[in-house]
This record gives sequence, structure tokens and C-alpha cells, in this order.
Amino acid sequence: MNFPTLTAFIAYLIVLMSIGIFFYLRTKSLSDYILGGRGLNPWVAALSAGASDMSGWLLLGLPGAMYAGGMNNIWIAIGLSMGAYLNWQFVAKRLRKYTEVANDSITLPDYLENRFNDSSRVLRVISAIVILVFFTIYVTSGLVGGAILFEETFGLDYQLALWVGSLIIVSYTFLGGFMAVSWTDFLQGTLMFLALILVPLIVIQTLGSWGEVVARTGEIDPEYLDAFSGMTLLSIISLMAWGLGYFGQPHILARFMAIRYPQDTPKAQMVGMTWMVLGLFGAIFTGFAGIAYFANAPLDNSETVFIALVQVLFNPWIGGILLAAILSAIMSTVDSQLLVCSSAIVEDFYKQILRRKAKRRELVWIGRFSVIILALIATSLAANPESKVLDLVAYAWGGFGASFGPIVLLSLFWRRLTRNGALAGMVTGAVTVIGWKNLSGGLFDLYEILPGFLLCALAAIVVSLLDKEPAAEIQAQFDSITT
Amino acid sequence: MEDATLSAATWFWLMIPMPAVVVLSLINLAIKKGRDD
Repeated sequence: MNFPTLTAFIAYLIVLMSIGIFFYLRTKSLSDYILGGRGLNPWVAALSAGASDMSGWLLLGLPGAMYAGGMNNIWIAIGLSMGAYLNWQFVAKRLRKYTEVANDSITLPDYLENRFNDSSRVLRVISAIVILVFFTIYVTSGLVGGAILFEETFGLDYQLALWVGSLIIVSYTFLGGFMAVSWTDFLQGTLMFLALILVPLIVIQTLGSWGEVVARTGEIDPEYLDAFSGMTLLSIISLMAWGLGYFGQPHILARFMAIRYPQDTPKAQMVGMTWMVLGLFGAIFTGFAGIAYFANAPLDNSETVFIALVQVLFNPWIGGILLAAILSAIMSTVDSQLLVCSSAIVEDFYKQILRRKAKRRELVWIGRFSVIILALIATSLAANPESKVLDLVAYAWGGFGASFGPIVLLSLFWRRLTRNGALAGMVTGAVTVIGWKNLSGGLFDLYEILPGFLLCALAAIVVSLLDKEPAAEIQAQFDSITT
Repeated sequence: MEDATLSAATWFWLMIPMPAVVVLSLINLAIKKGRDD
């Protein structure tokens, strides 16, 4: 085990834990625990939305895809940047305002129930089930990624690496709740950003120039240089469809709800989009330059390209910090997702069905207990190292995008949407994604989020139009939201 | 080796759409600030 790398890693984790403990001492209510009491300034909201969104995918997945396939993998980055922009532009501010007016909703199921004045709780429970199912899969994939990183970097046994990683993640999620998560995400977002800018610049400098990188890569295979090589219209659409997922990701939408003032949104959008686009460029150029750098000794696992470059190009102290950025990326997503699951259990099951008169303090502790239970389940599922991490991530991303995305958009912008319409759309989206995922060949090779999203929207609109109009007070509340 | 280069179409899709969303966000911020002032 490398001493400087380990020391830098541990120093980083101590800073992270200190932030968790600091905010633990300041947590008073469930709203504080879940949303940080709607107190996020634009910088923290933007970077924590980005960090919790991008996960290890930005440091491992995208550079790995670029390394393996070259420029024809830029389409997913284009789709995601467009989706994130549209989400900030049209959803963030209106959702922030609407959730406050709709009985101060602090979670997505909470918002949906209050938006439609649904006293049956069906909408809340169905959406909470979707959240629990897909996030458990999502968290599992994150824990597998973290375990692989610990295993590769420190030579730990996979199972030990998994339990160490899970313990660290749960500890500070458990301690500080959302405020700690948002502030640690801010720190993680900054570190990820620096790593993604620094690594490709150093690689290109080491190889001589950008022209040299392109020349060497083209010499290996000219196909690496072409964004259209091996692509069909269907495959380009399929990759760009990842962007649709943004409108339905509960952990990202939670950041929008937690922004301090609605008028802070444009600034947060500016910070968030700049961070994201520069980060995407960093990941693209890291993977692409890796093709030229490792031309004579190709990597076995393409997704280790960032780790391998850090290990060969930086001294171990800086390398330790940069590798901690990968852990950051994984942790920032897993902790946010654990917290959204925990709030689903507390707000949507415990408080609504089991103990309606539970005190706030009790709810805080139930929330913390839920984080531990969920993490244990996810860790157990992650114990199988054969799990396909990226497949699971794509599945969960598609599931949320197709189940919630159209419903969030329609609920914000279409007065006529009814509770039954929302319910029909949500179920249709989830079922379509699960069904499509299990079919293959021809049209079924299309990423399942696209048919899921379209059918969800169609079902929601058709059922709403067949349904009776929403009550006058629901329509009045809708009209009171101005952006 | 000297001829290896990214095609114009690849450069376009790599360098235009992603920076464009940052520029649009900047314009949005400027417009909102202008309205507030």
C-alpha cells in the first residue's frame, strides 16, 4: 500500500467527516435533515446538484467509453448537457416555488400528493415505491464502484473494500443529513472539477501537443477520430436520450427544492452548467488522450483510464487527492440517493401510514435508521462483484426519467393534468422501461428511457383529458405560481 | 500520420452544443439581472 496516497485519502475523509459532524450538531428538524431547511446558496445548490448527478460515471464511465471507442461517444455528453440545461431553465425555479406553495413539500412524492390534493395517498405510495426500487439498484451500483476503486488503489480484498466504503458513506449521510450531504457535495464537486481539468492538460502536455494526441490516435485507428463512425441515427438518438432523464431524478430535483431563494436559480444554473460542461470536456479529453498515451500498452479495463493516468503522471501525494476525487464522485451520488430513500420511508410510509402523529425528532431518527437499513441491503446486493455497474445505472436513470420526468413537467406546466393522469403516466413509464429493458433487437435496442418517457406522457395526457377537470382550488394554486 | 485530424462535423458536435448551453445560461442570468435592476 502506498503511504502518501493513503495519507491523502485519509486526510480527505477526515475533512468530509468533520463537515458531517458540524452539521449534525445543527440539525433540529426533519426539514433541516432532508432539505437543509431550504438554505442552499446558488453555488452549493449548483455544485451539489452536479456532483450528486454525475457520480463515478464522470470520472470512470465517460473517460472509459472515450478510451474504448473514441469520439463516437460524445453524443451522450451532448444529450446530458442539453437535458441538464433544460432542467435548470424550465424546471428548477418553478419547482422551487411550487413545492413551497404546495404545503411546503420537501420530497417528490410529497409534492405530487400536494399538487393534486390527493387524500387517497395512492400517488405518494406508488412514487415512493418507484423511488425505493430504483434507488436501491442505483446505490448498489455505486457501492460496487467504490469497492472496485478501493480494491484497485489499495489492494484490499473486494469484500473488505466494499464494507469500508459503505461504512464511510453511511457515517456522514447518517450524521448530517442533507445539509452535510450538500456541503460535502460542494467540496466533492470542486475536487472533481479540478481533477477533470488537471488530468487531461497534463496528459496532453506530456504527449507534446493536442495535434500529437490526435495524430497518434489516428495512427492506431482513424475511426477513433470520427463522431459518426459505426453510428446510426437510432444509436445517436438513443445516446442523446439520456438527457431526458434529468426531469425525473429525485436526488437532483431535491436540490432545486432546497435553493434558498427562487431568484437565485439563474445564478445556480450558470454555475451548474459551467461546472458540468467543463467536467464533461475534461472527461472526454482524459479518455481520448488515454488512447494515445497507452498506445503501446493498452489497458485491460477501459474504465480504469483515469486511475491509470493519475498513477503514472502525478506524484503519490497529489495522486492520492485526485483518486479521492473518484471516491467523492461515487459517494456524493450514493449519499444523496440514500437520503432520498430515507425520506421516502419517513415521509411516505412511516408518517403517512404507521404513525401520523410522530414528533419531528422521532422522524429524524427514523430517517437515520432507514439510511442504515437501506445501506445494509445495498451492500449485501453489492457483495456480488459480477454485478454490471453501468447497466444498473442506466436502468435506474431510465426508470426515473420515464416514470417521473413527464409527470414533473406536466404538473408544472399543464393545469389540466389530473391525479389519475399522473398515476397512469407514472405506472406506464415504469412498466415500459422494465419491459423494454428485457427485449432486444431492432427498435428494442433503443435506450428504454425514450419509449418510456413518450408513453408516460401520452398516458398522462390521455387519462387526464378523459378525467374530470381538476378542482378549482388546484387550478387556482397552479395559476398562483409565476416565474 | 500528419494527416490525422478530427473532421469538421466531429469538431462541430464536440465544440458547439455543450458550450452553447453555458452561453444560453449566461444570457439567461444577464436578462434576469437586467430585469431585477
